[in-house]
Amino acid sequence: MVRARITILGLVVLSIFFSAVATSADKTVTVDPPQLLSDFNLKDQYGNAFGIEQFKGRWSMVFVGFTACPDVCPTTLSNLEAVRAEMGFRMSPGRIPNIVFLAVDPDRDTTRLKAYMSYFHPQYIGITGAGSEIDKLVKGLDAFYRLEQKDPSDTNYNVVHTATVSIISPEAKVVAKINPPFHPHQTGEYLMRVINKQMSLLKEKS
Amino acid sequence: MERFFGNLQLLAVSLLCAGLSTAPAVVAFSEDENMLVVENAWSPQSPPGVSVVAGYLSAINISKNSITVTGLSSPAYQTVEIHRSLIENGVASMVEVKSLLINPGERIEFSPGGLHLMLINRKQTNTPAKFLPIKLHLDSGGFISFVLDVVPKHMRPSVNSEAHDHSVHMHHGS
Repeated sequence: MVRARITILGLVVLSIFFSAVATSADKTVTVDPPQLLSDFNLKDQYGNAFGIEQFKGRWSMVFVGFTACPDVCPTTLSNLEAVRAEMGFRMSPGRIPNIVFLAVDPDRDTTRLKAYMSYFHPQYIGITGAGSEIDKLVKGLDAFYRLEQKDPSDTNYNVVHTATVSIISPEAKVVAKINPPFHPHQTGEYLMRVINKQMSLLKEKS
Repeated sequence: MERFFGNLQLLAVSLLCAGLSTAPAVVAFSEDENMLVVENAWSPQSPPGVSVVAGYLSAINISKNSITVTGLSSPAYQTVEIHRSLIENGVASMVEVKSLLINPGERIEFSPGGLHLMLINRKQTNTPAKFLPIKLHLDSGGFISFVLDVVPKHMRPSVNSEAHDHSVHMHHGS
């Protein structure tokens, strides 16, 4: 009887363990082989051109959002900063991905972007531009957004957007995707594994 | 009388729990004796030029009756609504919650990435920048008022979008 109970308890513990592993695995996706982005022509918050070349030579994490987003976007930006801080303990600064905020609502975002980005972190990059150019990058990221503006006089519309964050390698390739809630330790651990692996592959190539 | 003491017991328990958290709790009540303990009511200082800002709090119904919130207002903002952020299949969206039922003893969390207040278009008022007065309009015709503390971004309490209370009873707007 006691043994039966222990076995049942063991099975329960095992099933909890495996379901936890499955859940955390669902939150990250490794893109294999990495997908090269197509070129696009946007501007950063200072008005400088930002295209595929600006992704090269450094690691980035791209988040699709809009500046009039009161909850999900500020929460995501704060959570990603916590992930970066976690990685900062065990990784050289050059390998820690910088945050690139792709603002997909240019009518409201263009004038606000500079102040918005500096409010979060002086190092963050915010990019926006013509809808057709935004769409090129969104397509490359396999992302999605939709402006829910009812008519041109509607200024308080919501924007439905991908919550997934894409990890871009210094070769401008999408190598991984991470999903909310962006637990600092788990997400940081995963990103360190992905980045270190890619960096050793790059070293082997050169 | 019995009802009064019943309420006091609930209040004592709620305040004890509130004492364990870092932010102060207040008891907010309407003239028709609906009472909420409001804890941790805060709003992030809005990024410059942005006309929409969120508000977060915990609300515990310490009345004997259920409370239904049917509207909100603030002297500092033109419009105040309750929204819920949803992430489904990797896509983030928001729905307005037109009516929010809080059962007796129930605690409802408004937290980043979940249920939140949405304050739209700041008004030109003399309201101090550090506080945002909020008034809940109840279906009973009464009102419950409290204040959100405006905190700088770096003071944000830690966030955990997995910690939502899914037991909330809601009637979604169209």
